[in-house]
Amino acid sequence: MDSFEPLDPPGSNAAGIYVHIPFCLARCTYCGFATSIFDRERVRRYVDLLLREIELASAECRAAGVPERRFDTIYFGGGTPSLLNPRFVRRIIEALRRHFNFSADVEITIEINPATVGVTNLKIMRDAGVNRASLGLQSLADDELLLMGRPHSAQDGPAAFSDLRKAGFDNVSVDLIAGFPSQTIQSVTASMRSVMDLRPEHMSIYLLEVKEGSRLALQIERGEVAPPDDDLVANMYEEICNIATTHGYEHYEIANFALPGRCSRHNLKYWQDGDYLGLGMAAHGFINGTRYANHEQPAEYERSIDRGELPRVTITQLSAETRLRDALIMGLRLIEGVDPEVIAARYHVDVCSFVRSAAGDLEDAGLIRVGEDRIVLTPRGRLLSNMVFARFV
Amino acid sequence: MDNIRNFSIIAHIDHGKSTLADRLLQMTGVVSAHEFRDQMLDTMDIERERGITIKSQTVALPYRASDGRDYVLNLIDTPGHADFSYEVSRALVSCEGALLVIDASQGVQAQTLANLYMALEQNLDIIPVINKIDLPVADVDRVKKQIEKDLGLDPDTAVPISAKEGIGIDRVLEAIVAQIRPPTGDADAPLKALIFDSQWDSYRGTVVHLRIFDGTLRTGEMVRLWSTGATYKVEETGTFLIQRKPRPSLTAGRVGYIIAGIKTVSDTRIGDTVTHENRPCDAPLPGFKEVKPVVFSSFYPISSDDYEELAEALEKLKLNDASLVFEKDHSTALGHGFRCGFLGLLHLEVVQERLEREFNLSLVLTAPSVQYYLVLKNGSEVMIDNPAKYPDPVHIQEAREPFIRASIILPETYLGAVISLCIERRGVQKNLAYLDSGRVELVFDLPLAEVLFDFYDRLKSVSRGYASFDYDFLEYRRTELSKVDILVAGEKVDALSMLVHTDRAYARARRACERLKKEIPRQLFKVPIQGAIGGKIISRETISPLRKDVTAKCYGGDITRKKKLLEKQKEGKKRMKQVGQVAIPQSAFLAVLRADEDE
Repeated sequence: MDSFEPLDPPGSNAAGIYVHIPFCLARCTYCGFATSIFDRERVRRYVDLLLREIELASAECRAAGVPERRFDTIYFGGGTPSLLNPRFVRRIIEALRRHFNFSADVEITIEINPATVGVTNLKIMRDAGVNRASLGLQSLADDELLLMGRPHSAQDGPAAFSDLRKAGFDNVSVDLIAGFPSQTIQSVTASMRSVMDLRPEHMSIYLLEVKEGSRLALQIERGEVAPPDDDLVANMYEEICNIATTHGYEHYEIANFALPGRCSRHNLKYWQDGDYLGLGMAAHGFINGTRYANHEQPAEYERSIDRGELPRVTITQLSAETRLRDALIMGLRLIEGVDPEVIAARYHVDVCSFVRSAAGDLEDAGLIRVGEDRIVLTPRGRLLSNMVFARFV
Repeated sequence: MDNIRNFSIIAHIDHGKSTLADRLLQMTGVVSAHEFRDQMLDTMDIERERGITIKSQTVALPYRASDGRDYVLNLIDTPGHADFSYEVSRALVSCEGALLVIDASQGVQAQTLANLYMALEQNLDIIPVINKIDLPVADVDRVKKQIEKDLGLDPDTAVPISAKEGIGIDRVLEAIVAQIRPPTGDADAPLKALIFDSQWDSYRGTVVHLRIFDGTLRTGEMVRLWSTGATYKVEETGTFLIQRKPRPSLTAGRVGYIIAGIKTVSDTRIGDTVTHENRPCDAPLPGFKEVKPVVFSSFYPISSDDYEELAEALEKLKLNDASLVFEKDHSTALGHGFRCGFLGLLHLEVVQERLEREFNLSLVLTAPSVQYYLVLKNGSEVMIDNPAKYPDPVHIQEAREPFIRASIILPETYLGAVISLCIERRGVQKNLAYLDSGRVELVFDLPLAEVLFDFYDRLKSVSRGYASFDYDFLEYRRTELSKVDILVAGEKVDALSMLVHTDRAYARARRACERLKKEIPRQLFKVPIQGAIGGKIISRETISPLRKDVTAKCYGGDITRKKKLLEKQKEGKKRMKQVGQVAIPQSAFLAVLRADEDE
């Protein structure tokens, strides 16, 4: 397998930048991410560190001989980036623009939680260049939000959406959760229909996973909360897909829907084997065939930057084979699947026979279709995608 | 001989047997404070965790009594479970007395009685010890009344103590000297010694634990084991402190060990008599029994690569466990493994746990079975303990199964419940006798197969722990036997087959299917699980196909996290056994053979 090599020169396509903002008002019960409780002083310090990391990262890019590398997305994820003072958002964007080369139509997304930010601040963010928002609505039922540990009410969601519109955001995505304990088909479709009424440009569905160490996992273990019922979640998912497509949304990735032309350009980098820089605590990046992860502990993150080093805890130069496997795991998440020709050109491998030898039985079982023009998951395969992907790890 | 006392400690579970043993060791200076740990004599992890004794230990306690004389008090610690009752009886035979420990708050319990009867059968001097007097709920007077009324012992001889707090331990030691008779025997008579245990030492081979009844045994002499006739040269004799302590000879009345180049403990038999080759005694000691396994199960490694390791591990356990027997076995579903025989289900569990823990093996076990006796139409007779070897029923003239005669002593209050339990287990009542003060002795003939599976636990639960249970093998009796097969996705899983009484077949098949349904993960296709007798399906469950196994969102481009989860999923698969199209987890096999707690 060592014989196949990526063909196209690294950096030929525009890359993305992910910026992690690890602060929340409260930790949601199902959360397993790197975040901590919001504190004004800590946030100020963190932004300073982030600005220095931007300098270090750009210096490294220059040293690697890709000063002209073009970027066309920035994504503020968290945590709860909407807790940031909008002036900080502006400063980070300005720093990025100073140090990296952006295309004119750069997509700049920020994750927004309801009840964390008002129209005025949203406008400042909009003026700073943020042109896309991802709103963490999750549910439109108060009892569900309470169980999720979300620090907002059901009516805060649509209010935040309307604030976004007022502030001039014409590209908004909305997140919903399905499969949370106590949710029913009725409650989830009700939330979904309300979202359709708002008519966001984009919509993501998060099928709940019980993460080890989360409060929810503990509650389930103690028997306080019933574990999710997989069949019910599957039904919810199918119902949501139906509603979205009948409302004119394109189902373009397992968990994502968009109005025509409104796919998440940033997330497509992940799914289409693209390059992205990850900045901030616990951020992940993949650039020029190398994956890296930043420190998850605030102290270690800070120490590295104070020493003038990039705060990376792991750096892995991927073999061509691993890259191919990763590209399949990510690419098959797209409804259009992967184009064998594109992959063959990149990795010099007969991708159809590679996939068939790893997962031929799953083709027989109706989870995946391997065609000469496209390799795609079937609708059933989407819900069972981990079984397919497990063949590629 | 006057300065020797041989004794055991017997007690109902949790009444403080191990704690008292610990205190005696400390008080007599056998272990110093820094060497000490709880449950000193229980050396296996399983013993410590479960708070039970599986393997007996012996220790000589040096003691200077208030009369100014020095004594050697040999404590013979005994296993605490019915599976090992023969070993316990041999250990008790080696003693002249026993400490009967009774919890001051709980008073006389079922096992207090059962143990007392066993000790009285061996004609032992009994010292009642009332433990846990430090507890606020302790009621020493009540326990004394019970000792007099229920046990028929002199309450004035009882010693009140707190083993935990170290109160009264000195009085226990004095009582051992004063109330337990010294051993008798003729040091010049022909050698007559009882094997009450054998243990394996990786450097020295088998260490045989002995009680000398007559004669003197010296290093260098030739001895003969009565039952096998084998002769050995004695390389070392000695007594036990915590470690072995060699001494040139062992005389009548003593408890000690010999090392005599005996390769495995299986070459020795507990209860056997050791005598001199050139001057043998005229008759062996009474009570010797060949211990035979009564329950059989096949063990398979989850990964067939581990077969050799399993073979080696069983050999190693066998070195120190003469009652464990095994032979090669093969299953279509599970590949190569071993058919193993055990004294009972606890013995089986202990062996399984040790294999998994000490040898790091993952195992699949088949449903435990007793030995059935089949008369075939062609006149031949066979013993069957393995469903895989069960002949086509058309060839079977008659099947017989082992029956035991059980004696159950219980307070009258629970009589109805206990009789129902016995009848439900196909028991036949033989006798009912009223003992003293509202207690009843019930005699039932029961099929051994019914007793093996959680009968003891059920008996304890229906009698609130007050019923004591003792049994002897009776005879093989005619029975109606069926072989129940289990099919997963249309494929017979031979390792899940079981031999059961025909009246039980439907219920057992149904329960096996229900449990498999719970344990086998959903597959990409519908998986029927069927129970069958011959070609006839008698129960069915269906596992509906898996619909959802998806990670919905990949945040921040962190693909490593996702890959870790996928790898974990793959790892889990390795602990499953692929049978046809279906991967069956170890837990499913275990669930099928688990006792009927939900019946």
